[in-house]
Amino acid sequence: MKEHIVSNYDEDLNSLKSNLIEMGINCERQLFNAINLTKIINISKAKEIVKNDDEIDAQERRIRDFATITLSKRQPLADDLRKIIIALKISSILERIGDHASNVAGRILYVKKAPESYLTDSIYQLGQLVLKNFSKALSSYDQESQKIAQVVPAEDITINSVYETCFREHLHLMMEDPKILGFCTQMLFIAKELERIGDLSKVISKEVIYNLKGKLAK
Amino acid sequence: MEKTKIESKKINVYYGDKKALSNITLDIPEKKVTSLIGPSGCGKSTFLRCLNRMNDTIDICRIEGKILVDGEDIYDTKLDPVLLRARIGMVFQKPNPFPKSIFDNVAYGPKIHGLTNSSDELQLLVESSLKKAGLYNEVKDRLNEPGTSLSGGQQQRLCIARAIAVSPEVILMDEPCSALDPIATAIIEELIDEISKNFTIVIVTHSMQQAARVSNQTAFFHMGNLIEVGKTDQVFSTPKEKKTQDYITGKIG
Repeated sequence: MKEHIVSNYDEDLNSLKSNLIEMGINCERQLFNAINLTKIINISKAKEIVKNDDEIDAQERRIRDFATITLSKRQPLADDLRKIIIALKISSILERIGDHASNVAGRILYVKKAPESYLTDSIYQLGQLVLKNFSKALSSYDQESQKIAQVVPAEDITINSVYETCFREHLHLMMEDPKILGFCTQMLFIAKELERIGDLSKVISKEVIYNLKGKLAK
Repeated sequence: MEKTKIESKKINVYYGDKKALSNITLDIPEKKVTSLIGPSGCGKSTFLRCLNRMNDTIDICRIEGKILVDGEDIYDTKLDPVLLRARIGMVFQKPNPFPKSIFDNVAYGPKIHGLTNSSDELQLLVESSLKKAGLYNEVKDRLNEPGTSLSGGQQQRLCIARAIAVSPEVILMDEPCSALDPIATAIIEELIDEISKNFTIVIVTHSMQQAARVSNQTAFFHMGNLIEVGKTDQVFSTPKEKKTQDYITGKIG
């Protein structure tokens, strides 16, 4: 990749990217911890996740400020302009993903503990798929790889069908044992939060392709 | 389908032994703004000056190829370059009003080309040209003052009024805003937008943002070659050529 005549410009763009990746890694950690809560409930861990979300919000504000200054200072064109636009968009998507991870922890704080008859780990399995696909979306941005980005939407189809299966499974559980109705409802909300993260990972991968090709995929 | 006003076909320009332009084929659409961009010495001003035979005045300059305006070869030996330049006006980098009154600056062209029959008619033509150039309200009470007494931005608009007064079909602009402050630049850009409804405009500019703002078509020149031409929106968002991309993002000088 050719460098700009003004070397500061490259530094600005690189710094924008590394800040965004740092924010992404933060979201990844939050998501990883939140998904683990669906298997083993841990109240102090859940509280920590909710609290950590503030830092993700602050990261988004910093990226927005930095991108705004870079836009006004450099008046970028073509691929440089797209780099900044997608950094702004992805940062706002990451902020949403952070919220969803924090919401998972919030639901865990609400249910406090799992009923003994609740034995399935299907939501944890759904979470693993979501986490894997989110990591892929993030590395497609990091490596500016269209090849990796293209895999993400296809994987999301699998995630959606696993989500449907989880939903039906929990309906059955609730019909069989109405005592766990309250808990299962919360778990279904958690599944929905995870499914949303799946969708948002897909949006990130589309932004990556837009950056590389200059055209937004359908 | 937009109509082509100027067709240039395989233009080569030499200054003595040095080749300044190589095989340029570029169509200029009618009543649209075309901007020519590229680093200094890339040939964009040379190309602009070919369009109204300004290069004729340079002895060592030799031109090959064809330039057609409305299908008519402008390098036809029977064609009078003075009449051609009335059809294809030019505005330069530095405002260059004649050392005459504001009125006479605008009236000069119509007078020598005999475009008006009476002094009343001339008066009206000067007024309408100044209005089209967005200058009339600022100078209507001092039309007899020297053109050079105006500010830089006003002088440039006076030069545009002077170019408009002879009812040209095409206006060539060679970095018309490079000597102006941002406000005067914005006024000229607004003016370019306005007059492009009636005139075909070709503008050479070093400001990418200006080219992106004012033009419909952009042509990128590099070392005497036409690298890329396309709709302005496309050239500045998704250029097809690597060289264009590197230039507009500041990676080559």
